[in-house]
Amino acid sequence: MADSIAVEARDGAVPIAGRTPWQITRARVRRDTGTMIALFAAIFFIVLALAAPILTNFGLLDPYNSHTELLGGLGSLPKGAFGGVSWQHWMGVEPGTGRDIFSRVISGLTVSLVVATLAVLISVILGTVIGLIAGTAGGKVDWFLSRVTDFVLSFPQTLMLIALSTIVIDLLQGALGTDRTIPSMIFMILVMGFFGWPYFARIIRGQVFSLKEREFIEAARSLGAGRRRIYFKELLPHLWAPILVYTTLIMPQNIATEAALGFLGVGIQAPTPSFGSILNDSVHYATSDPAYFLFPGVTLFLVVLSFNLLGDGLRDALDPKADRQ
Amino acid sequence: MKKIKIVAGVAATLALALTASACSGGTAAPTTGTSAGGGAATAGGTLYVLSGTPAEHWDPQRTYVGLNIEFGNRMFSRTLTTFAPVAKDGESAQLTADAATDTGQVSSDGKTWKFTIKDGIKWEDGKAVTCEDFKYGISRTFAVDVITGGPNYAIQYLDIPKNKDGSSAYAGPYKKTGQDLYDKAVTCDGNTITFKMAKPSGDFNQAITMTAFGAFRQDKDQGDKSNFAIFSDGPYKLDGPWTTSKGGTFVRNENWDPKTDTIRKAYPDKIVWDESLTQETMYERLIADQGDDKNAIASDQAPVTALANVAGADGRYTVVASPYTRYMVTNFKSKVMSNDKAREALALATDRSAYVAAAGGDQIVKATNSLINPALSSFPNTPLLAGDKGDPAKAKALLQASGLTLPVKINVAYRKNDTLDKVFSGLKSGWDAAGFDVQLSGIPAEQYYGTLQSPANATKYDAAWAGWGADFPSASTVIPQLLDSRSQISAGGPGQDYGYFANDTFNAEIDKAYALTGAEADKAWGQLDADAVTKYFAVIPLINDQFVFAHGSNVQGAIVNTTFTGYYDLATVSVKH
Repeated sequence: MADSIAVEARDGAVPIAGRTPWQITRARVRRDTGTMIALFAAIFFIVLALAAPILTNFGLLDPYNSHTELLGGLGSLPKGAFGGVSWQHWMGVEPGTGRDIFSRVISGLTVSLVVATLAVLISVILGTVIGLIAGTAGGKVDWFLSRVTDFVLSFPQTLMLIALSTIVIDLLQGALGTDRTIPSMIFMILVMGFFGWPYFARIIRGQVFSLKEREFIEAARSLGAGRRRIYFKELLPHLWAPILVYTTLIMPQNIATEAALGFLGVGIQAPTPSFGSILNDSVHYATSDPAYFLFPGVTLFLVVLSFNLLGDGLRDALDPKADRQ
Repeated sequence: MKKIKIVAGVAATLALALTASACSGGTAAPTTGTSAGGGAATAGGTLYVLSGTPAEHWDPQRTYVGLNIEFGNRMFSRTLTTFAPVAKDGESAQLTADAATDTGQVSSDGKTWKFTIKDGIKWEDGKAVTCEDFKYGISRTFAVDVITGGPNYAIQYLDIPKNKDGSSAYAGPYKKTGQDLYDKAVTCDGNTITFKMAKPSGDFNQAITMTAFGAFRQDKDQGDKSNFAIFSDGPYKLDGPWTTSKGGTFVRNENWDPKTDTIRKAYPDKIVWDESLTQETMYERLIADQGDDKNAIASDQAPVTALANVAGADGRYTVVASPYTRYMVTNFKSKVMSNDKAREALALATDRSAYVAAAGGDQIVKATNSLINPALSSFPNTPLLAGDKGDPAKAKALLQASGLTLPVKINVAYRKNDTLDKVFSGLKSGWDAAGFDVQLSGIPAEQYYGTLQSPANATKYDAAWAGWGADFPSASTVIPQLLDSRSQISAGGPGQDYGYFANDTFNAEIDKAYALTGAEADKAWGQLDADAVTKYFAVIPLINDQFVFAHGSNVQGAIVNTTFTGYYDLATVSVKH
């Protein structure tokens, strides 16, 4: 329950209640319809992604089994309109195999969101730590960490992913002894996580610089507060806002990167579905079976869009200057 | 994009097992849209060859993939005899003299063959192609540890004794062990080359159409490094470097004398080989027919995704029976597959209908249970063990009786491309339903057969996909090449016997079949095929298919030669300009 300092109403005046930043944010977001829709969409997709493995286990979703009886003609295209849409196959079936596209898209969503979320977590943790240290330490330490940040930022992430993929995934597969799915996911999480931290580090460092000179930090220091206390009790509470916003904005970037890699044939390997590999295959059927491209393509678009809009909306809501006219 | 693959201790035993066809009798009736291009051919212009399958070898003694043999022979590696270009897709091709003056003279006992090499054939540096060049080229096949990947007919046919372990007593021109034995079997007298056969061999002059019997200049031989260092005695030579997964450019060899060459018309001035594409993008471009693609032909066949759209290339595409059979090999060196019941279970649970659907539908793909292609007279037409879809329940019962713990984990390799990804997803479902736990390993095309043939991977895969077509119209180029351990398995790897199948009874039956002719031989080869499939479960034949090829609108004379590899015959291709 938030604090509220109520001033008693006098002579019909409206009572004034102070609100915490969190309450202000919530109110602002509630008022912004676009962001609310984006929020519900994002939550919907997350729930869907979490439910997919369970549904697959219970046989409600089936991304792997072929239904060749639903195909026909030269090239094994789906029979029926819209790529074989039916009550059993809401998004139609895949040419050549007859696999259910809806199941594959949702399973691909799970992979995408798991990889994107874990990658962003790594980026946040690494970036916050480095940004905090750089911001508070200043001087040589800051200079050195900033150069490291620049260095990592200047690496082309996608090219690195493509170049390293075969070697690292082979290594991981050898170490784990499973098929390529888990090693591919670990690989992408690690690489995207590692190349994403400079983004956060810079933001955190900037925030820390502006907070550092404030009186409450000086006060805490003069009272003998150690570094750890300053980090955790004084600085971090002020940093959650930018962290939240940029997390939400990096998510769609990671989702798109994973899809791009799958599209290039790197990353998650068949038969595990992923957005990228589905889209890669569907592009070749663009003229003969456009539904195969449209359903997954539009889904990916909506996922990325909802996270983007959510992030934008949160950023506006958290901006202390937002309410001023 | 070149993938960097680190494989420790690989002797690089690379054999690409897709070779020449055997459609004698023209059973391949092409359907609508056949093209040879009308009008008179014009010399000049640039021809683009598009490829979605990077070449593993251009070294003539190491080339075993059909399209590389065909294009290699027509561009830069002449052989003593060859199969002539045909006038219509799928027509039967004639065995004709190429670098020799005729198709050879054989002694009455069938054990000596003589060929006279034409005058005036020159290498790209102007030096004459001599009998010694042919003798040297053929000898390279014996260096089995370096010159890997190619057909080993030279070792099988020539009269050179074998060591106790089955390897040839002649170890090739680098080690020179047994060089005197080779020099006795292959002799040069001026321009006449004489071969002594180990057994009566009436079809030797068909075997020498493969580039493995092509000439090679000793002073240009860098062993393994000669793989892409093309040195030509044909109408085209390589200009600049060859880059794997990108390609290269071929220009005219000014020292090629058309008067010595009745086979190759060599119309284009330049041939640009582009292997940076996938089969999907290649055919999208050919169907769209824009810009330089108007002057392009396909080297490999259309993938499934193009089939629905190929009707848009009216007049520029053709459908022919492919001379290949796709099959699974079970690895006798793997712990699981050395169990007889496990192999039989795998065979029973194989869902060929998934392959048919994923590979384009039953209009162009047919399930089969024979290694030999239907085009050959020895095709035994072995019935499917459990129908198109297989019988996972029966297979599961077998697995449970095999003594292995279910689910049985197996690692299945296949050549990675979009079509086979889908094929194997379907096959995996069938096998998993039978109690296997299939882990799929899609290996990139440019490393596929090399990976299977590397001794380092002998126990890595439990089963693997493969494709094979007869090298020339005889089942003796199918069964022994794939299943005779004596000629295939060596210290360098399994050769084309990827599953290390080694059975003395089977080998004895092969020897008996070699000695027969005509219908008796057909029956014997057919029986061997059926035994390999239904008795030993060494192979699981999957499908036969039809190939679809396309070319650009400016291209003329692109005709599929199903006797000689089953791809477009470059010899008659020209571009309008």
